[in-house]
Amino acid sequence: MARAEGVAIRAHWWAAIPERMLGKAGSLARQKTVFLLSVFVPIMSLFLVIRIIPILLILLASFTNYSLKRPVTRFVGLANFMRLFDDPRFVTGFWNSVEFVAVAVPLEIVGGLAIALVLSRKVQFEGFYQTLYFLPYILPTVPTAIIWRWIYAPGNFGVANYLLDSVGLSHVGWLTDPKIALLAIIVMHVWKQLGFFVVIFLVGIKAIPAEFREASAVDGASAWQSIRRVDLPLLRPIILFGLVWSTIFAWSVFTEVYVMTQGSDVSAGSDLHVLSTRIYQEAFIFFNAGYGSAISFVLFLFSLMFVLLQFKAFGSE
Amino acid sequence: MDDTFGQPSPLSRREFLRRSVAVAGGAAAFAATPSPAKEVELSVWANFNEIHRYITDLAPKYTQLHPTVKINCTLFAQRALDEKVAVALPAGQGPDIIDFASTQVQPYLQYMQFAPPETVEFVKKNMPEAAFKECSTVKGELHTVPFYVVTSALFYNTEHLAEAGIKEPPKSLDELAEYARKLTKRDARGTITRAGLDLRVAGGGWGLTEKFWVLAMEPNGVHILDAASDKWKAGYDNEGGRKALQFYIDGLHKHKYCAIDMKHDAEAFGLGVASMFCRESWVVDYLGKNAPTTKYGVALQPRGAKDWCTLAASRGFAVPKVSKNQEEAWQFIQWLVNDENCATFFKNYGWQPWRTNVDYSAAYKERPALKVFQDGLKTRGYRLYPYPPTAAAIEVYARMADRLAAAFKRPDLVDNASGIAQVMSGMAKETNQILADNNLLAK
Repeated sequence: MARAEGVAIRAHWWAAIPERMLGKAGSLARQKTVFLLSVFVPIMSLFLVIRIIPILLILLASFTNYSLKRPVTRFVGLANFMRLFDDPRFVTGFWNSVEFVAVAVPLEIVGGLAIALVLSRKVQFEGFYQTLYFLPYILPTVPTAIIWRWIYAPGNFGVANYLLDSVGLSHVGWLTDPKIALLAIIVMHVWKQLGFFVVIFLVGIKAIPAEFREASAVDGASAWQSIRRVDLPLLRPIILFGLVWSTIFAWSVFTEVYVMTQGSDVSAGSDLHVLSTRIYQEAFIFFNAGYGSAISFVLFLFSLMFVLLQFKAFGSE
Repeated sequence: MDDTFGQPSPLSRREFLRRSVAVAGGAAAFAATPSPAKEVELSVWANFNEIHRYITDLAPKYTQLHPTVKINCTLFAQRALDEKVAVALPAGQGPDIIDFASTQVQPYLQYMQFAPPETVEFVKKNMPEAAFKECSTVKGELHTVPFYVVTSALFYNTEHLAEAGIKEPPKSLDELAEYARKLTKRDARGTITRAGLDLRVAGGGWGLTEKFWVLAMEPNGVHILDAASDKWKAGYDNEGGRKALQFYIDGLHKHKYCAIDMKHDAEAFGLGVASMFCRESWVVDYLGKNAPTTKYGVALQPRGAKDWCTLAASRGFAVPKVSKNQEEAWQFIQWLVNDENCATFFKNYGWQPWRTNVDYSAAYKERPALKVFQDGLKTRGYRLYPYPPTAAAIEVYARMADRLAAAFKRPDLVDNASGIAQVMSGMAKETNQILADNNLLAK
């Protein structure tokens, strides 16, 4: 008897859930909740499966000696993370990634913003410029990187050195001198990504009502003052978006670096590794997936940290 | 009138038995008729463009000979095949045939099917002993049918040598360095415009270590890995190893017959910005297509202080245990390495088949330089050595390449014995650590 009562209570409890969660049957609140759930649940499930779970799995793998070559995997505690400090290749890759972010992000944001501000005014041949700055962004990265390798080719065989030669300057080891090579790749990366940032800034600028600028002009503001006092403050959310994207692009840069470091003639080899190419090397060439996961997690933490800092700096107002 | 008119008349027992026997006989006869042969699609994973082309080109011919067998060959970039195999085989997936280097197959021997006796007989009868014993077997069992071998030889520009008054290609490493100095050209600023000897100084993989090993280590009696029973240890942290690095440092920073920042490899040789370099037989095909006016010769690798030798990096075909068409796969492999196909392969695709008992005259007629490579397999006193057969070899070589590339950029290592010793011992320590991590380090 008592058992039957328990079952009845449980059945009642289960039946009450939808009403508590969704609202009364047929009510507007219920319809809204059902609609929201039907929209968000598939997306959030997908996000969970392709983003959150892999991150957790990588975190788990980073505490193991997981290798595709080894049938048995065991926990190694913090050994993979401790190894990072003694690994000169990781240290080189880490500082190269930091340099990449520190140089590429400001160039992309400032460059993109400057071009967008110029193009937002009445400019002749606007369509031509739009094609010009957006073209590199839509070109596939691998052939683009190969073309840049030709530009940076050593001796008189590359366009860059040929131009230096023609004005009487010495050749530069664009892809062989470790001090230059990373900057040379950053230039290529910025050239390729710039169009994307020009577009988003241009959209942001065009969304600012013209009355604001007109009002500032009536008040006697110069063009620069109008940009500083009207455009830039109103563009803050777009600049934040650009910063976040640019930072993520720069931390996770792979293809440009990978293509530039392959081949027997012009590459700078390991001097050019960044964190993402180190992850690839460890996990997919040497099959040390546990150690590769530890590097991945460090990359994830640093990307996250940079993005949070940007949100804190820009998102406060 | 029969009262059963319009109804089937009932069978007598005899008639029923007679008809049953007839039906059973017919069914038996039908079952005994040979059914149309089962169609088989052999899937092949190729690792080199030339192998992919070779198999794809020959596939229709094989299907003509064996109408029930179709060939489907997929090309993977070099590292991509490693990734694919590493994931597929342990998961019980895979093709019927894999184009493998003897080093690549090492981590996957447990997933490979050993060749049947007739294939073993064929290989023993037709291939040099090195191909069978050193490159393709484990404990006497054949896991890969050796197909072609990657050996190195010295390419030299005959016009450059004649211009420098050199009549014959160098025969020793000392002569090589001496001739390289003579052949080097510089512009007014002192920048090298033509390297006397092109050294492999860059690159993303283990090829850099391989070239260093072949040119400067083995001829001086130094191995990358020394074997001790079933295990290994770094074999180059010694005088010979240090001399090998010294050879490169001197060439780059002391005698300066080569520079880091210039065109390298076959392209440099074809463009005339390098007078000599060591490479494999594919360069003959490359030069024929891309630099047909280059006048050049090919010679066996120069002698070192202790040895006269070249690497014989074997490549061949293996059949994984997961293949459902193993019999057809072995038959196809044996057909791929028959006399006619080997001759075609050498002539049209540029890589050097292992087989020495095949008439390659058509290939030699078109590309005479190829003969030197084939002679290398038969020349007395010219030793062929394989990659160390260990699963850790690729990681050892690749990590060494990183360190070597960094060392080559250091002019401070000129006449700096302690600096060179430090580089070699640091590298050896890492090699031994990799072996230890793989439980392969000899005590």
